[in-house]
Amino acid sequence: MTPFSLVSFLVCLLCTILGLFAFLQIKNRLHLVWALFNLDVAIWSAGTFLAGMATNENLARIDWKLSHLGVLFIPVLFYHTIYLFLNLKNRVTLVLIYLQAIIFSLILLSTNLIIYPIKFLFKSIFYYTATPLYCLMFFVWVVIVIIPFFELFKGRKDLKNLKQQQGSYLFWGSLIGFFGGATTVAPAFGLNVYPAWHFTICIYVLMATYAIFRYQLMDIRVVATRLSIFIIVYSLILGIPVWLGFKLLGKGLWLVPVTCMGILATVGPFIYLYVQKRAEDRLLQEQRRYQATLRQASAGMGKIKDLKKLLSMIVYVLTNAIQIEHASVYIFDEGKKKYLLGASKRKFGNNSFLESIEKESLLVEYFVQNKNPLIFEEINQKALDSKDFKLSQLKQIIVSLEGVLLVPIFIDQDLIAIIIMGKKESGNPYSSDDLSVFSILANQTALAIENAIFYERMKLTHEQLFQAEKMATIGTMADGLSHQINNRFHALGFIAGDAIDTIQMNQKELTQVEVKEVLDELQRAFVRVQDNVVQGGEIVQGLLRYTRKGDAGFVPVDVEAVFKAALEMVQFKIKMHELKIVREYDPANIPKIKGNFTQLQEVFFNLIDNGYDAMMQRKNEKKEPGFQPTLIVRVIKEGDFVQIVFEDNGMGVKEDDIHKLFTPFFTTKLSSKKGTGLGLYVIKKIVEDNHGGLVEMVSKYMQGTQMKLRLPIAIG
Amino acid sequence: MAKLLIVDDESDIREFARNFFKKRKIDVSIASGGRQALDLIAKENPDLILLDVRMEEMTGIEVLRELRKTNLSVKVIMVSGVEDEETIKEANALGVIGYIHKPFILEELEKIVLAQLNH
Repeated sequence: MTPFSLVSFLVCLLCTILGLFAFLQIKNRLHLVWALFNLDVAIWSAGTFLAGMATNENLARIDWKLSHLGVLFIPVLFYHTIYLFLNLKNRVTLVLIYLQAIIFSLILLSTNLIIYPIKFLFKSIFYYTATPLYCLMFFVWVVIVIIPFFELFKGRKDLKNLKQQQGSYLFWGSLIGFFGGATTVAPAFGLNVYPAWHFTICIYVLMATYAIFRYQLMDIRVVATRLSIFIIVYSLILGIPVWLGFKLLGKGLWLVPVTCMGILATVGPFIYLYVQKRAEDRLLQEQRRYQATLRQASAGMGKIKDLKKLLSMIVYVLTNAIQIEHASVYIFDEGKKKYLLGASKRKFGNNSFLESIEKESLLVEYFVQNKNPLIFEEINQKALDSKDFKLSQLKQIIVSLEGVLLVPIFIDQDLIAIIIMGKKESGNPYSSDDLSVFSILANQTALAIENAIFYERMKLTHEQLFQAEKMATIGTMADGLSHQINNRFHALGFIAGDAIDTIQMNQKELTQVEVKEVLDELQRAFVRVQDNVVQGGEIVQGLLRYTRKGDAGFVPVDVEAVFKAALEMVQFKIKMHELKIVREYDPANIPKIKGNFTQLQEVFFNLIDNGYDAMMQRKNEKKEPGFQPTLIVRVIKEGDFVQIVFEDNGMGVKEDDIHKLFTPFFTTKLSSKKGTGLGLYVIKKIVEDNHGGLVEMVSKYMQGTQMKLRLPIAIG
Repeated sequence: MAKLLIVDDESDIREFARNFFKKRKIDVSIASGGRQALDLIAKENPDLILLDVRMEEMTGIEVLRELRKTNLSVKVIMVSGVEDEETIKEANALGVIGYIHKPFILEELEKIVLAQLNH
């Protein structure tokens, strides 16, 4: 077999594989035409292969005709490919180009005007010779080859991201292929160049294959450089010994070139790798630089414990290190069950992004299934190809987030955050190297976020523990202390009471005015002492009440009876006629609850009392005409629980104060005389700790407050 | 003259309470603890006893239990801070007239005590 046939065979084989592969992947007309193009190249190379193997002129003539049938359609299908790729509208040109190919084919097959004279060249091949009509055909052929290259070159600026990359591959790969392929006509025009240069078509196939698998990720410059270095290094390694063997040593002494070849072949890969690394380092200098920055940054992230700061740092590093137009991070919020915008940065223009991503969003679903970073162009391409409704919806979501590259962040199986990156300022696409760096970044970020969340939760738990411990300490101390304090109050009460008594008894017999006045003053002072004693006693009582466990038995209790008892108690404290109480329930239909009557009475008492105070405060402060303080009481059965709601139309509580209300010694009541600040804390203790129920407070400032109690129904 | 016994381990209480009731022509005796109280009751047979519940040596309830073994008639008013329901129940079972929570305004105590002694 001649080298000419060998190269042809190789080209034929590779192009057939590529063509068939493309055939299997057909999603649109572009793919189909491109597949046909490759198969057509295969037909041409099959013809040349057979011609190279031909043993006489007649056989060679038939093979060359077959080969040229392929040749005629190569530029046609190539033009058609570019036509579809660039979305050209020039149908007439397309039809004319097809037409000329058909006409030339008919002439080629039915006459001997194009291929007839055969020469025996290179002592091995029956080669065709250019006829006048062949010259015309070849001229037309060259023109038609140039048109699509020209179109590609002209249209390259309108192509976006992925297509731009594809365009580059198409342009350079095909150019190399065509250039090599075209050299095979040289012998036909009398130029004695050995026809083996069409091996460059193999490069085209390699590039195309590479592009199919990685086109969206790889920089064209890198591919081209790698391939060129490979070809140069290996043609030297393989070429030098062969050349030496032929020229210097004659045909007998093969030992020297073979040894030489062995040495070079061993050194070859090292040279290749070294040269390649140096070349790529130069090409990817910028990329390597920011990848190093990112790695450093991701290592440093673990040290930041404030989640907000961490997220800000991530977007800052991303936008500055990679030089992208914008970046944003969405983080899952347990409370709202959504991904909320945690931090964002936009280099130019206003820094506004979508506020949140729903948990049910297709994007979240996609990440949960795929776990990997997502490139917008890929989804875009898939959406265009498959017309899948879901994909186009997903595309819309990504568009609304302005994402070009989206990186999910997982802790275990949970998607906790999504990083969204905009375009690179350079306009370059994200490379596969970028993606692997982002995967590392994502892992590090996940750890750092987990760290920060854990730290924040721990801080909160710590605070709660501290609070609980404080309360427990107060509890134990209160029990012993309160009796002591109470006894002091008690003694003070006795002393003051006796002093008042003494003054009153002796005052009548006194005549001196000054002394009387002094005694009056002293009596007033002692009365104040007495009042304070009583108030102090109340505080101690309140304190004691919540430190003591409900010891009395828990029995079925009638809600209505508790309510009546509480009303009886409360009427001594409040003016009942000022208050309208609406009972929105039927006492007969309410099941008994499991509880302690006295404790519940205390709870109801406090709730009515609190509501009254809040409504009176509104009435006295705001003086709204026609304002009627109304307390609505509802009782609803809910499964195993009874929900009791006390709703007032009083002052309400500001949102900031709600959670404070349940801490002991906090009061919103203006005068300290009115409350000890233990009310709600005691209620919560009684309902939740003693009764296993639940207290919930809903309040709107200036609209009123709803206190909801959930208490368990008594069984049996 | 009516006899009142005040049992309290606080000396200030004993002193001022005695002062106060003496002015009302009442024969007041005082005891600082349970033992002393029981001795005094046996000796003087008071008409009314003000008995503190929480005391160091013996609690008011223990004094009351001891007392009721021999004397079922004497009137007792318990004086206490906040006590649990069990104590109140037991005191009731042992026959007390009432339960008064401290601190209080002396006038109120006066009304209660005078009402009991004038019966």
